Amino acid sequence: MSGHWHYVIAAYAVAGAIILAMVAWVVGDYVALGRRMERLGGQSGRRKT
Amino acid sequence: MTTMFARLANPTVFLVLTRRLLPALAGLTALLFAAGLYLSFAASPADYQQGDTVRIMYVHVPAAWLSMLIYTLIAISALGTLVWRHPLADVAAKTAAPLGACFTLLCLLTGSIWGRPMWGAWWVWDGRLTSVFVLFLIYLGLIALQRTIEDPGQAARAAAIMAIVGFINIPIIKFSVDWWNTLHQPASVFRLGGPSVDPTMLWPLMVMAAAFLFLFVTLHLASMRNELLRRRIRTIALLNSRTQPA
Repeated sequence: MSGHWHYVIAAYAVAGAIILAMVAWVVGDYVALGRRMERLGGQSGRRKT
Repeated sequence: MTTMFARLANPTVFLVLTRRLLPALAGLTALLFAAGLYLSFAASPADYQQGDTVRIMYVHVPAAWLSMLIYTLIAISALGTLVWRHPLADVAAKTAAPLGACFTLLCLLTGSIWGRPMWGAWWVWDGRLTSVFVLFLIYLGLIALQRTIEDPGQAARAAAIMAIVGFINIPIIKFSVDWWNTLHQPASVFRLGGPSVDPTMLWPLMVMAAAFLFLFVTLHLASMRNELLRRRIRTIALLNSRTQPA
C-alpha cells in the first residue's frame, strides 16, 4: 500500500485547488464589488453637490 | 434569542457584526487547518488494510458531511423565505448553494481518487455515490434557477420550493448504505453504539471536520456580505439612473 501515496497527494491537491478557488472567488467578488460601490458613491456624491 | 434573531434580520446590523467577526473566523480556520493537516499526515497512523490511502478520509469525509449540512441550511433558509419572509434567508440560501456545490464536487472527486486503489474503480453507480451525484446536480439546478429568473423575489420563491423538494435526497444519502447493498462502507462515526473509528484516526478527522466547518462559515458570511453589497449597488444604480436627466 505504500505505493499509493500518489493517490493521497492527488486527493489533497484536488481539495486544495477547490478550496483556493472558493476563497479566490469570494475575495475577488468582494474587491470587484468594492470598486463598483466606490465608483457609484463618487457619482452620487457629485450629483448631491 | 428572538430579539437577537430580529436584530440580525437587519442587513446593516449583519454587515457590522460580520465585519468584526470575519478576521477572527478566518484566523481560526487557518489554525484548524494547520492542526488538522499536522494530525492527518504526522500524528495519525496508516491503516492496517488501506495503508496511507486512509489519509484521503480526512478531506473526503468532512466534505461529505458539509455537502449535506449546507443543503440542510439551504432548506431551512427556504422555509425562512417562504414562511417567515426573513430578509436574510434568501441571501443565505443563494450564497450557500455555490459553496455547497464546491464541497460536493470535492467529496465526489476525492472519493473517486480513494475508490480507485480500494475498489479498483474510479466510479460505481451504487446508492451512496449516485445519491451524492444527484445532490451535486440539485445544487447546480438551484444555482441556475437563482440566476435565470430576473425578478429577485420570484427567483427566491422558486429556488426555495426547489430546495425544499430536493431535501428528500438528504435522508436518501444518509441511509443509502443501509437500504442498498453498496461498495461504500456504512456509517462509522455518526451511528448507534458510537464511532467505530480508532481514536488515533477519529481525532484528526474531527479537527479537519471543524476546519472545513469554519471554512464554510467564514466563506458563507463573506459571500452574504458580498450579496448584500451587490443588492445595494443595484439599488443605487437604479436610483442614479432615475435621477439622471432624460
